Order: sequence, then structure tokens, then C-alpha cells
Amino acid sequence: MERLFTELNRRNVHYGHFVEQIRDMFSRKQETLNKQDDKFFSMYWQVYAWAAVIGFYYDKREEGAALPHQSSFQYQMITNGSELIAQSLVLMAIGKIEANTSSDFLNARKLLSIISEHAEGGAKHILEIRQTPGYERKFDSPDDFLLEIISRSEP
Amino acid sequence: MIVKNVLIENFFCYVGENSLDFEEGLNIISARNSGGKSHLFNAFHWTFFNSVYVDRDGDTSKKEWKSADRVITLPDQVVWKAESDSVLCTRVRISLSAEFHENEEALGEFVDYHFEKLVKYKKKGADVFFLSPPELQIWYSRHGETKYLELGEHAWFLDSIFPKSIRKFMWFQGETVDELYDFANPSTLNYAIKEISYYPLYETLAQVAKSSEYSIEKKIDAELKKRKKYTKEQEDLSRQIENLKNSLRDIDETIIVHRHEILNLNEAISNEEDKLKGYDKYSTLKTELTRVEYNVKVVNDKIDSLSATGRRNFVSKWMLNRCDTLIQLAGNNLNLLSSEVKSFQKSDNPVPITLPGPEYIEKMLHDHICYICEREVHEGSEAYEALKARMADFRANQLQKILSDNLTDLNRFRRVALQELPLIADEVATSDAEIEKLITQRKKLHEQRENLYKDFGISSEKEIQLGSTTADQILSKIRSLNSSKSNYQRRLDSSLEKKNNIEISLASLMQRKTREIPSDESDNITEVVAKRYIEIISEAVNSLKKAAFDKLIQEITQESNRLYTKYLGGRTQGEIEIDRGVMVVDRETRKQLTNLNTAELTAQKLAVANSFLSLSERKLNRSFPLLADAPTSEFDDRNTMFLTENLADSFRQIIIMSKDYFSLAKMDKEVFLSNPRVSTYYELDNNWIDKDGIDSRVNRKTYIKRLK
Repeated sequence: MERLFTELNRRNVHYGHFVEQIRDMFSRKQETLNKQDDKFFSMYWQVYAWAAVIGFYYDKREEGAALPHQSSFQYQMITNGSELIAQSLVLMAIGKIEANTSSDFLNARKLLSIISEHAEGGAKHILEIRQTPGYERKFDSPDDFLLEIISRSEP
Repeated sequence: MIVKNVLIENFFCYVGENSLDFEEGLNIISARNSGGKSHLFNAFHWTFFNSVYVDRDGDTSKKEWKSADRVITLPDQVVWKAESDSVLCTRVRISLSAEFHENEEALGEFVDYHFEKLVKYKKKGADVFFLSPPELQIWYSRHGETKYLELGEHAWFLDSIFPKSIRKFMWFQGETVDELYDFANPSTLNYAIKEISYYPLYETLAQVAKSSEYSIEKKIDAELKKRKKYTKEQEDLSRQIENLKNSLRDIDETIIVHRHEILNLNEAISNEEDKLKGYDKYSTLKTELTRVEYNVKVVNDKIDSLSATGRRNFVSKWMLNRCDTLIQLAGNNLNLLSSEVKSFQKSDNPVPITLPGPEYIEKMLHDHICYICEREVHEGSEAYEALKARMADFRANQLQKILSDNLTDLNRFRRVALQELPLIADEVATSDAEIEKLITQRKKLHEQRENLYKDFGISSEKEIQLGSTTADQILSKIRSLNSSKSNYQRRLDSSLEKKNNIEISLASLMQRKTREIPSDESDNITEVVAKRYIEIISEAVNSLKKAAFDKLIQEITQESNRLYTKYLGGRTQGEIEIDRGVMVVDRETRKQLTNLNTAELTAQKLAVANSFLSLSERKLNRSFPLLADAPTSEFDDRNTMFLTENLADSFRQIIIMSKDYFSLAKMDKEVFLSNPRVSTYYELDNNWIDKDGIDSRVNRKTYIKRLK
């Protein structure tokens, strides 16, 4: 047995089709890291984390969604990119679990699944926004990402 | 040369086709202000030299020479009436009789040449645009055949009928007289002298005499060598002299070439400087624009850098904005974990610290030996079970430790997140405000740029691009011309110094030669006799040349003074003296007179310029017409009449455009018109097209009335 966060970091992140779709929409491919283009994110984990945050914030969860993409990156990638985000996601996932004992939530795979289900839900939410008439190009401009976080209401 | 007819179609105030015939003698075009005189003058200049004297860009109170390619020549009325997308054109045709030229040579026979310039415009909305640059065609009819000059022949032909060096004397624009007649510059005189007399022939003769002297000396040397047996020293001396003479000759040629080049370069520089007029503002504007654009770039860079920082912050923190509540929700579960950890800590620790560690117990269980008391421990025995219980305690302890660690970790994460997340909103707002500020700054800079365009009276970026490129090209051409000039000047100076040195050495060698190899007629060499004659001729030619020059200057001075006195009706303060430059001196003290009034200065310049033209007519039997716009604007009525009548004596044809005849009293005008010197007299009147129509320039045109 090992520490929760150590185990989390070691595990691969699984994600579903919606995340895959927005990943291709908003992130540059890994091999073109140096290339300047108009994509807002430069790494896959960033899109995943953003989708997850959206999922948590707007309470969009695709419970039991298929998560066939299982070998893109480890959770460590997120931790390396931003500890704050990696840790916050875990805490938000823990917040979603109704536990009787600590073992109900001290489960790395379970937590990762909850995060991924929210990422999937968030990604779906984003895609739905883009299908709304008048918002087809939402998030094509970098400003839209900032506008979205500014428009979130106070807790 | 006689200008016979001008046909003007849609050129500034000339709407539709307008024709004016001219004859030998005095042709007067009289009009009030803005009657169309200057645009008639412009019509000539536009056709022949592709430039017009019009308002400066952005400043209608001043005028300047502008290239025809940049000036829309259409009358307002024509533009106003035309429909959008229609094609409009300006056409000027000038017919004149001039010496027939073939293969760049004047043949003495006179033919009628026609010069027609045409430019097409297209109307788009309220504006008109060039469809093509103005194009000139020149043709003549001879022996019943009409022939067009090829485009490549235009330049030399215009140059031969209006020689550049005296062109400015025959195209007189009253307002630009100071710019045109730069008599303070000796080269203006030198150039003009070559154009108006046979003086260059003396220069050629002097050159021929010098060459003859040189070649006869060479022959004498060859002959002497043949007859007398030279000692080695004598031969050396002779060879040295010959070498020096050769180099002297080479240097002389180089000096001539360099002087010629410098003169050409001076002219080219002044031509380029003329071209630069009207373009120089583009350079200033470009510098200003570069400054503004640099500032825009700095602001843009700052915005970019802030945006990049924003993006970095977004992916590392900002995306979590307002997620604090969700993180707080983890609190319940963390409390659960905390109580589990605490409850364990409250229970007695089953593993005393003093006992051996889990590895030790594991080994004892594995080996079935208690290493503390050194006794065997059998499986299932009490001791064995006790060891197993210890082992379980260790495991439980380890699990509790991980739980506790997890609790510490998660609590720390929560604390950090709850500390950081509420700051995000402010950070985003601050960054936003900074970007907003920069955007306002950028807007201001953009306004500044727009204002620059307005201030300089330029509407499109393309125009400044073209203008500044042209200005840059002209400036760099001037720079390169100046550097070639200084280069030639340096080479000329060094050649002159070299020549001086060679002459000194040559003189001393010649003295030695006279001593060591004496030669006289007793040697019976024919060339020695010939040399003496050549020397006499050379001397004569040189003094003739000097006398011709002096006489020419004297003639110009006399002629200038004659005209000067006449133009001012005999009331002059001093007389014109030409010595390198031109000035008016006191008749008694011969000191230069300063503070002359503008009429006197104009008369002085006109007198000198016209003396060149009239002498050219007298000496080379070549006549140029004088086309003058407002020559008398600085004169009073009396002097206007003096000037006009006396100008008529100096030229076969004069075309004067002036407002000064308009104000003549009726009687005076009748007398003036009956003067046989006046061949044609036109009055121009810029007036309403539709008398009941609108009060606008689109309802005006120039009407031409011939009174004589």
C-alpha cells in the first residue's frame, strides 16, 4: 500500500470520446509543441484538466461513460504541469463521494474515474455550447476561455 | 522655333476642346486672377516636361512643381458631370514649327511638329483614378508623309529643341524666378555660354593646336634620334621626357573626363533635387509613422506578453476560479479520515517501541526461531501466534501511517487551494485591466497615425508607400551621385597635383635636354620649322579663345544691360556685371548693390536670361520662343509696357500670360492692341457655365476671346 497521491501520479489517465474531441479542437499535438498556432492549449493534459474543471463547476458528470483512451498520459503529467490543479481535482473528486469510511474515497482508480467522468461531462457541455446557435465559434478565441472563468458566479 | 497652335481638352479650368493660335511676334494672353493663364502655361509644361506648377499637397496657399503622374488634371465640372465608372481624359496638343532633326542632328529645314499628351482617368464614386500615366506622342509631316517619333527618341528631341541649359530661360514662371535663375552658380553661366555661341569651337581648336604641338615634338625627337647618335644618357633623357609627356597627355585627358563628369553629376544632382520637391514630405511622414508604429509594436508586444502570461496562468491556476466551494465539499470526507486517524492514535499502541522491528519479526516467523531468547518457535505455538499478532500490529500501524500521511497531504492540498483560489478573480481582473489600458494606448497611437495622414494630406497608405519609396529612391540617388561627385573631385584634385608635379619635372628635363641635346634649324629638320609655326598658331588660337570668351561675356553684359535698362524704362540703380556670377553694381564705385527691389531683381534676371536667348538667335541663327507666365507681376503699369515691348525686340515669338494688361485703361489698351508688335491678343475669362446654376467651381470654365 502506498500514499494516495503517489499512486494517483503513477496511474494513467483514462478519458472518453468527448474529451478526445475537444482535445483535438483546442490542443496542439504533442509533436508540434514548438509550432505556434492558434490552439489555446499546448498539451493534452491541459484540455483534460480544463474539461474536468468545467465538469465539476457546472456539475456535469457522465457517470459510467466509456473511457477507452487509457494510455495518453499519467496523472503525474498534470502534477508536473500544475500541482494546484492536480490536487484540486482530487479534492473535488473526493467531495463528490459519499463515504462511510475513508477507504471509500482513498481509492486512486475510483478518484481518477470520477475526475474523468467529470472531464467527459465538461467536454460534452463545451461541445453542446458550440452547437448552440450563435456560439458555434465559442472558445475559438483565447478571450473566451478567460471570459468563461470571469463569468462564473461567486460560490 | 514658332509655336503655332495649342489645343487643350479638359485640362483644369479648360472644359471641352479649346484652341489657341499663335503667331510670330508678341502673343498676349490676358486674364484676371484665376482666369486660366497659369493653367495655359501648365498645359505647355505638362506636355513637354511632364510637370505642372500647382498647389502643394495639404497646403493650398503655396504652389510647387509636381510630376504630372501625380496630378489629376480634369476640370471639376467634367468630374462632377461624369457617371461613375466612366472613362475621362485630358488631352493637350501643341503644334510648332521647328528645325527638322534626323539621327539626332538638326538639318536646317523647318517642319511642323505635333506634340500630343493624353491621360485617361476612371471615375469611381466621387473620385477619379489614373487609368494610365500621361503618354506623349510626337509626330511630323514631311514630303506628304506622317512620321511618329519613337518613345526612345523623345528625350533627345525635346532636349535638342529646348536645350536643358537654357530651357529654364525660355520657360518663365514668374513665381519661381528665383529658383530657376541661379546665376550665383558659375556653372549656370558656363552651360549657357556653350549653348548660345560658337565658343565651344575655340575650345576644340585650342585642343587641336595642343595635340599638333605634341605630335610634332614627337616627330622631331624621332628625327633627332635618327640623325644624331645619342649617348646612353641622352637616350635615357629623351625617353624620360617622352614618358612624362605621355603621362601628361593621359592626365590631361583624365582631367577633362573628370571635369566633364563633375559637371554632368552637378546637373544630375540638381535634376534629382528638383524631382524631390513635393516628395520630401513623404520621408518626414515615413519617419513619423515609423516612430508611431514602433510604439504600436511595443504596446502590442506588451499585450502579447500579458496574454501569454495569462494563458500560462490559466493552465496552471486560473481555470480553477470559483472552485473553492467544490473543494470545501471534500471537507466532510477529510473529517471522516481525520477521525479515523485520531481514533487509532487514541487506542494504545500495541507495538512497544523497544521491541524489534517488522523485518526482525518476519525473519523470526520465517526461521521459526526467536532471536531474542534463542529458542525454537513452532508453528501454532503460543509464541508463534504472539509473533504473528505483533506482525499484524505492525501492518496496522503502517496502514495508519499511510492514512495519516494521506490526511496530512489532503489537508495541505485543501489549505493551499483555499488560499490560492480566491485570489484568482483579482489576478484575472488586474491582468485584464492592464491589457485594457494597453489597448486604449494602442487606440490612441492608431489615432495619431490617422492624424499624421490627415496632417500630411495623404489619404492612402499606398500613396505614402509609393511616395516615400520614390523619395527614398531619389534621396539615395542623390547620395550616390554626391558620393560619385566627391569621388571624381578627389580624383580630379589628385590628377591636378600629379599634373603639376609632372610639369615641374618635365620643365627641368626639358632644360637639361636643351643643354645636352641642342637642336636648331642647322640640323635641317623640317619639323623644327613646322613646330615654330604650330606654336604661333597655338598661341593665336589661345588668345582668340580668350578674346572670344571676353567678348562673349562683354556681349552678354551689354545685351543684359540694354534689356535691363529697357525693361525698367531707363530707371536703373546700377548696371549688371558678369564675372563668374551675376550682380548689379554701382556705375561709379563698381561695388555690388544690395537691397534692390523685387522688380529690379526680376528685371535683372530676365535681362540676363533673355540676353542668352537673343544672343543665341543672333549668333547661332537659332530661335527659341519665350513663354512667360506672370513675368510682370512685380512691375508697375509703366514698366509692364516697357518690358512687354522690349521683350518683343529680343525674340521672334513671345507668349506672355499676364493679368497686367487687363487693368490697362481702355485707351491704353486700344493703343497697345494697335501696336504692330502685338500679333495676337487673347482674353481669358473664367465664368459660369450656367448663369442661373449653382455657385460652385463645377459650374465654371474658362472662356477664350481673341481680340486680335
